Amino acid sequence: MAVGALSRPRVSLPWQVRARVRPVRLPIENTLIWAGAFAFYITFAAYAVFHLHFMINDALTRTDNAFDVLYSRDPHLGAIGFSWPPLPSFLQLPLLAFKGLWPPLATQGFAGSIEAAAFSAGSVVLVNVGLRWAGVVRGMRAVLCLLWMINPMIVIYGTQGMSEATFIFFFLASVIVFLRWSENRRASLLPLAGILAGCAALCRVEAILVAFLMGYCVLTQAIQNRAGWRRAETQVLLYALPAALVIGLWLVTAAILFHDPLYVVHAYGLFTQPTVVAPIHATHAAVAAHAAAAAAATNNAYGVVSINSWKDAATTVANHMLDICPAVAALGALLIVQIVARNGRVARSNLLVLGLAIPAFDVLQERVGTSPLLRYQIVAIPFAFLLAIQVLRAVRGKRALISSITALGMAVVLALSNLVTAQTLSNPSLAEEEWPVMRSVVTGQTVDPSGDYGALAAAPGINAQLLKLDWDRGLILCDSATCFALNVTAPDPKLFVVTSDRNFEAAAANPRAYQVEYFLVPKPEGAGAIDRLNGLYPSLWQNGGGFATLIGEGRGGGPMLNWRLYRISGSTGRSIRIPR
Amino acid sequence: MAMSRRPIGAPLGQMLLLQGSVSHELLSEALAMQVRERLRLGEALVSLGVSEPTVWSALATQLGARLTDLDHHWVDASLANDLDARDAVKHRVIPIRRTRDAVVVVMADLRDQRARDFVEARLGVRVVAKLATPAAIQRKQESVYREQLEQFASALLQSNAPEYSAHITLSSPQKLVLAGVVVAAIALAVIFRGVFLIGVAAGMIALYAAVVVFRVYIMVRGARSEELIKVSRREIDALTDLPVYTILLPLYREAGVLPQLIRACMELEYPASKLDIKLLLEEDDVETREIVRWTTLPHNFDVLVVPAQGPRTKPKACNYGLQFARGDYCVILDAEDIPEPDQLKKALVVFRRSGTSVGCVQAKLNYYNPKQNVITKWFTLEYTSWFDFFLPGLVELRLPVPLGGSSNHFRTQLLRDLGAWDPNNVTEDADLGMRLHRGGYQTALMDSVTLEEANSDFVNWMRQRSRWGKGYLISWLVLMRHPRALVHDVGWRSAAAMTLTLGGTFGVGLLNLVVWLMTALWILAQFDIIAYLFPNPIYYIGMVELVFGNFFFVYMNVWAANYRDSHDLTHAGLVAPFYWLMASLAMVKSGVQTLSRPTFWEKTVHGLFETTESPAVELVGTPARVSSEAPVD
Repeated sequence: MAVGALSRPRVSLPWQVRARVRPVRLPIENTLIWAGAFAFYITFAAYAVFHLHFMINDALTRTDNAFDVLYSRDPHLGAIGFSWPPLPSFLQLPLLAFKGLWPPLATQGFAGSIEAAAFSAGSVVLVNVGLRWAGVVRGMRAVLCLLWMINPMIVIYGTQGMSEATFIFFFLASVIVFLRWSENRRASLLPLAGILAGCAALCRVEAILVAFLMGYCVLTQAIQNRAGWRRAETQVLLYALPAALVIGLWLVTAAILFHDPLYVVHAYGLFTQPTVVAPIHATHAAVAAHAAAAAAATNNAYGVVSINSWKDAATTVANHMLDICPAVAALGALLIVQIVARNGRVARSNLLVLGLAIPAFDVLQERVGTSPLLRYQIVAIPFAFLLAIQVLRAVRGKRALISSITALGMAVVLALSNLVTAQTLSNPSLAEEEWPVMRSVVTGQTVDPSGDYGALAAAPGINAQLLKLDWDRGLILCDSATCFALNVTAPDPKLFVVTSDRNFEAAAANPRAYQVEYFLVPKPEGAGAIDRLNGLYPSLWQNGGGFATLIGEGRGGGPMLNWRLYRISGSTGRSIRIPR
Repeated sequence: MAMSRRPIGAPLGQMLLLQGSVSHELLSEALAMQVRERLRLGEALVSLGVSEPTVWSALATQLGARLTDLDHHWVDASLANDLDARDAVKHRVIPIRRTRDAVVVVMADLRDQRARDFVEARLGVRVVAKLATPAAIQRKQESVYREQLEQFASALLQSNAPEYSAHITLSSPQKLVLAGVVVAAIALAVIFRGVFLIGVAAGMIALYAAVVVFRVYIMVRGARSEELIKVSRREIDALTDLPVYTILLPLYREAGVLPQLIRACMELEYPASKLDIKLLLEEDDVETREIVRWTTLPHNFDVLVVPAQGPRTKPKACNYGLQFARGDYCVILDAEDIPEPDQLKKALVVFRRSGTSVGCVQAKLNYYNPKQNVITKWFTLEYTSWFDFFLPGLVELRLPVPLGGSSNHFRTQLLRDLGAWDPNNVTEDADLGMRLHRGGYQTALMDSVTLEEANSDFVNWMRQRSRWGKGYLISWLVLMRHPRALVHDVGWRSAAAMTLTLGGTFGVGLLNLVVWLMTALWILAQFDIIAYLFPNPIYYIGMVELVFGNFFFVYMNVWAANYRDSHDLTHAGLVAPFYWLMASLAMVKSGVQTLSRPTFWEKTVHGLFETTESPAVELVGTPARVSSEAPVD
């Protein structure tokens, strides 16, 4: 009898027994928005990179980091360079796998452009999601999304593989998820917010502060929601553990690779850069002028200044934010009024805390010493839109006239703010990295070839010359901080021993033991001053350091266009203990 | 064919009233109950506390018969054993002697024509019926049919479907395969040496990855699942025509929890007259039997004594009790369980909604002593993850469900058809869940909780966990006797899920120790041999598993604490790796016992959690001895 029951044919569970049949909703609207925004950004990226020759070096170095993981002599995951937040480079890995099919993915850094375009399009979707949550009707959502999409700074950084596009995406996403959790208290949103905040920190190191403060915000909101301390603690943990895992993975990797989890702080020096202390008043033009003077004085590519007053530092940062997005002031003031009026005080205070976290970090940086690059305050733009979403959410459900006027007001404020952004980015004294492309878009002319793109454009030619000189195909050692353009455009990147190779330091100290035949060094001025070989052997450029023979050089009019190739002929005289 | 008796006396109620055995109020109540619950008046009167002998004596008078004192009556055992004991129990009959042309049969209901027909058909002679109380008949049946009943309880599955029985651990083909694998491994080790070891390391990582990914996927699906069937109050109140429901309560050296057990059963929201509660005691548990003997049990409690022979296990006791089950549905509860009062009705709603495709309705299990110490905290979080995330994930994906050891509700006949529980399997619940799935039946999860006592003692916990590990491994080995047939019966997905759930639990638990040890050695000393065994791809996969796998399960503990609103357990959840270490050590013991004592059931001691109420019954005699051959849980 037992066997008979066991041989019964299988039946499926009738639907009545299931608790509920979940409808499947396809995100058609958001998919279309993403596709449209991506098409816009990638088209502009192609125009900017291939036609206008616009390139920011930092974008190409991120591509180079990912490139080294796959194509260097020593392909390994650590080549991504965990000293800086590694996520933007990580995300380019799948794209660079197709470099063989389309070389500009690497040689023009276009993998970074695709990545930036994809995440910038994602940000448009997030703005739409936030506005929908705020109850904004479709037509007005389209207007506001468009305003976001065409903000000049968002467009520029949606075309380059910098970290801004990915950072903005994760920052927006984490804050929107947090705001939604604040209202509906769904526990499943907490780990999502944690992961997104952690990812934001893996794009920009300042976002670690955002991730940390979001935990504080979860705590305050939980207590506001009348959770006891234990429950609040659990909810903070539900948020914080994923964030800590994501960030911790980076720090632990840095600890393994560099024996220092805070390598990003100590080595490249958020707080250890050489500084020129300048008592300055806090307008951006003044700061920029001082930075330029500092660059010249210290023979550095970037001038580093510190502002010796907290008030001035804060004012500087505030001015930067207003230069980028003045809407943040108007909307921020509105938020503060609501807070004072005890209108959703905790939720609104939390938004203020999250939005001002990065500017606060920047104030600290300004005090300690930093390059006054405008993009460091790009967070003003997403912050302004988050403030707009919050304002619109507050009027949801009110009379149609009130919500319509509010939405229209938001649109006007943000549109005017966009105009100010465009004006700021066109000013060379304010936007040293962005103004070249703004001018080129207006004039139709290519960007100045002596700029960053110049090195990239000249790289294939330089590689050809190197191959002629390197007739025996001996290994060429160079610092990828300066020779990255050569690395990504090289016909055979395995000919180069670059900084990410695990035996780089040993090979630099004892090249013959590692079959390195040549040292390639840039002229030790500007960006070339930070080259590792120039740092190890200060006289290498001048006379070969006493152990190498000059066999070829190139001369050009911009950074990395002056180079010398030395053949190793003797001992460097350096010994090095390789840490395990 | 003899005609059934027609009443010749006054109505039963009137007779009892005249005798002074019942009051007017009691009779009125019984009459109302008779209508409401569709009972016979005699059954209603018994359920209201009138003794069976009193009622049956009146019945005898009514029918013009005499009540047989079966307890002091000789019974021709060989005649009685001409009947199948299970059928005799079902019909409440027992042949006691032959006459020249008939057989005298004692019956609980002289008007039961089907019972008469059954006996006449089986024995081929005319039946002369005598009346006795159901309890007396049952006592005599237990004695006369002892061998049959014990055989059915111990060996039915083994004799009818030996391929599904764990009476042997490894089948002959399995032994051959194992020997072949060992020989092949030795040969490969000799020939390929280091490469072979790398292969072993890779295999270990792959197995680990498969189990971890499976668990993660199932739990994530389960955490978002809506497969937990909620039954509304309205649906419960709309229930009519409630059937008899059997509750099987195996009890072994747990007299201390008897008051709580009785209280939990009495608080069940189900008509007492329709509850058929079987208290299953072991023959050699003299202490508990004595206590039960002197305890006034509710009328619907039925004490059965399981013969002390054959396998000495809880499933054997349940099989024994199943033979006496009168209910259309049955459920098994552990001695210390406190089910939600409306659980039976909820299960009934689910069964009626689902038709015949649902073979089992499983309630969730959790603990009433979560904060007793850190072990109970860990245990509670584990159970929450299991019943609130993992099992719903399996149900959502239509994968086989390893049943929990308690609060499984069945259709009684289906349970019998499937061979009931395997008495040789120490995790008979998991095994039954696999057999259910194999038979084409689904397990449904309902939103009802039974609270149990979490093990708070380390040694006791290790005993229990090692038994579970052993049982899971043996259950998997039983399934793997005919892997092609298994795949044919259940499909690749379910077959893989069975392997990952049962075999994977044991395997990963055991591998944890190896993996953690090697990780610790690598971090501390970076031995070259470890770098050799784990080249880059294997190393990275292993690292990802280690980091993300451990993180995920720690996180799910915190999630479980939040899910159950038990935020006091959060801190314990964060240090759960120590709990996993305990589980791994238990798996080592499981592995050893699988080889040395596969059917040995390590008794789990209950009653370690002191409640605020003092027990109504005190233990007498010496404290329970947890002997090496202690049988039933």
